[in-house]
Amino acid sequence: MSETRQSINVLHYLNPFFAGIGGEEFNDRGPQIEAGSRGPGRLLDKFLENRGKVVATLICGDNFFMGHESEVTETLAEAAKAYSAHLIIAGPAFSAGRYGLACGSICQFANERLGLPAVTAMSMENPGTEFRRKKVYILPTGESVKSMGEIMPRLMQFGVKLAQRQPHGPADVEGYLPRGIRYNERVGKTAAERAVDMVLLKVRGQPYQTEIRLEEQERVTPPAPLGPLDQAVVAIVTEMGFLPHGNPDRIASSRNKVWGRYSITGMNSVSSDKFMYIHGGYNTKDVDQDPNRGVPVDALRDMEREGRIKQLVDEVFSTCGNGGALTEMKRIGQEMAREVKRRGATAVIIPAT
Amino acid sequence: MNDSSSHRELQLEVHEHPITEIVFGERTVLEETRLTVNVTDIKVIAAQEDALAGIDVAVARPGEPVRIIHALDAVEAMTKVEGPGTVYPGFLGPAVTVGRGTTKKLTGMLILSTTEFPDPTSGGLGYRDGIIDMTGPGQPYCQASNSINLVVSYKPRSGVTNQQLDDAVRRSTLRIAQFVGQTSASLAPATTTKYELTPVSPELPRIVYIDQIMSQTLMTRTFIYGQQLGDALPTLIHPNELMDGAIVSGNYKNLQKVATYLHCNKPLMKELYRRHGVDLNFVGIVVNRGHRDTFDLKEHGAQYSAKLAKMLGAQGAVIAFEGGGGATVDFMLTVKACEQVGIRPVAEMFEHAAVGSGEFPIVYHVPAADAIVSRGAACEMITAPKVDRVLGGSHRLCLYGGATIIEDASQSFAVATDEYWGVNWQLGESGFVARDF
Repeated sequence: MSETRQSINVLHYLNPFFAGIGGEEFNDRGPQIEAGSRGPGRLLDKFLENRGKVVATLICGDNFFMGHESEVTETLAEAAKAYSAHLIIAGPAFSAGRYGLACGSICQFANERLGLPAVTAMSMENPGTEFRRKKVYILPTGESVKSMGEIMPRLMQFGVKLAQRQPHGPADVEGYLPRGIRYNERVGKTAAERAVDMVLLKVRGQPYQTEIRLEEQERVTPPAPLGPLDQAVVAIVTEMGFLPHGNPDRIASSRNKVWGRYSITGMNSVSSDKFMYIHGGYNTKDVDQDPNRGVPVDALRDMEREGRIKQLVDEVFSTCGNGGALTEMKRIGQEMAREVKRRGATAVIIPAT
Repeated sequence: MNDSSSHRELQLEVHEHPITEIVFGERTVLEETRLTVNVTDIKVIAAQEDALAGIDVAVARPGEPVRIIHALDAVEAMTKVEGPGTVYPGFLGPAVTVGRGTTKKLTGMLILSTTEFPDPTSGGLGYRDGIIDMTGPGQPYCQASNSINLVVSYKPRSGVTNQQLDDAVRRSTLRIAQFVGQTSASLAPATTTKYELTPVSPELPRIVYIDQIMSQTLMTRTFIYGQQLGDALPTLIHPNELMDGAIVSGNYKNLQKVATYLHCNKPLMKELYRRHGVDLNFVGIVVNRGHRDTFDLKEHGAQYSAKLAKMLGAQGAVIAFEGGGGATVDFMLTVKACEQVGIRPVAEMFEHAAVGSGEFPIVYHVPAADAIVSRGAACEMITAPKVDRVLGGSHRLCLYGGATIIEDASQSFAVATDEYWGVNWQLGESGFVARDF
């Protein structure tokens, strides 16, 4: 096949130190565009061979970047346009922390705002890695510039794949850090065959590779204890799928992405004539029969009347949690919390499934 | 030490009769690999159940443009010709310990039951419909899509409850499976395999299979020897018992379910048996119920499972589970409990997060779960093609627990793969794995 591909225009991002301009004293220097390659960019040119070239280099001091990010990315956008860039390569930053953060931001901006493929490289310990690994392609490097010769061809090779919009393999094959974005593939062995292979490796003390890497989940710090209960303004927040008949907000019984707030103004309890539950994860029969079994409006109204709590917020904040994606649920939680707070609540009761 | 003699008691010979075609005819008979079914015979069996008003019978073959909906279960056609008990013990005969003697199975085909429940269901009690596509992009995601299916669609008599209908359909389907299996009784099998956990070299690592089953309530239950698996402590079972149908499914959570034929042919069980005496020593199966009601009860089931495994002398465990979110906790606690008693665990599971979503794939995990086999993510949008025939009853299909209604299931529609029947397990059988990009 004699397909001729377009020559790839690479826009390279460097700090003054790596560009060979100078050290600490240039950290506050603003963005500057230079035609052609500088410093390690020459290695990129070399490994690109006839597939393209570094058309320009954007150089910016790390301190300046931290304080003026939008100014720098604006310059990047202009340069990308002026030089018809197909690919952004940033760094490598190795263990240089602020430089790593800048490289990560540059790549994310290129992806999300310019629609251009981008890749960077830095060490695992670089804070830029932790900050951006879920957002951009980062190739892991050693701590020091000594690994420059090893990383540059890999950076260029992967960059070319991205620029040519070729399908690429998973993170462990291509050598970039997993972004947590998972796609299915089919392999020659069934899950059962691979599981038995793996248990034998494990029992024999041989190395094995898990197919799902575990991550520490966010820990939630409990709030300070509530003061006197008779001063508390209480709101009911739930993921039980409590809602009025007709489901006005179209809350789904699984993999739900929306929430609603439903008035209980003037109600001493929630009646099954008005309310019901939608949830794919538990049997809703009992709570449908008497909705107060899920959201205890009747009991809280009693406490309100008796002065045991100051007030019950006149809306129930509700969603359905069954199979919901973590990020969606986090967003819903934050939106509800803002609204609950706006209503003056000092305490929430969260009937959960 | 009578270790070897006690093992020998559970020796099962399985005669396989591969089926390549099912046709309808005057007489129900097996000739070579061609099964002829007299529909009247099937109707007579179904008529034994008062709850049933009638049936339709059809055949669905792999590769045909056919979609099956409203499916309940798929079971192997088999019969016992020698040894104690019956196939599907507790349903077709007393709960006599099976797994011994000779069982004849028609392979490459299944009896597939479908029905539509008269009363509405919702939530955890809910029936979740699923799709079986015999061809097209959905085919690798559904159980029973690689076999020739004798599809028996049951119509309820008016006034019956969901539970009466469920019980009647199950009994009838198992009877049909045995009746069809009996066509092989006097025929020579194509293959004969002897299943026995023979004593093997003490050098080989001792591996247990911990099988966590879903059994909660009507529509999501599973039976052992005819009894619904309830709050009982975990128990031991021999793989031969499973092959004779000791575990029967009544779980209609379409994405999570394990159909009865898959209980008889659990992939991990078959793989461990295949390698028994070759590179491992298969010591047996621990059955635990997942979705236990509280964290303490989950811990209880997990600890007990690991203890039973330890009493079998297991050095390694492969663990898999049927179910979804909450059952992941029972499952992960079992992984942890194994590690605590010195058994090296490997967990096999589907991934909860949708394909490409960037969400973390597991709802709960423990540090001991450092060896996980991924069956891939169950949720990916695909296009189900237009088909020539829809089997199972009405053409009205409820997706996503009722959130989407497809009025004519023969048409093409966009669908998430976790609406396919038994996808969580079929992913593993089809060789899917999710990888980080």
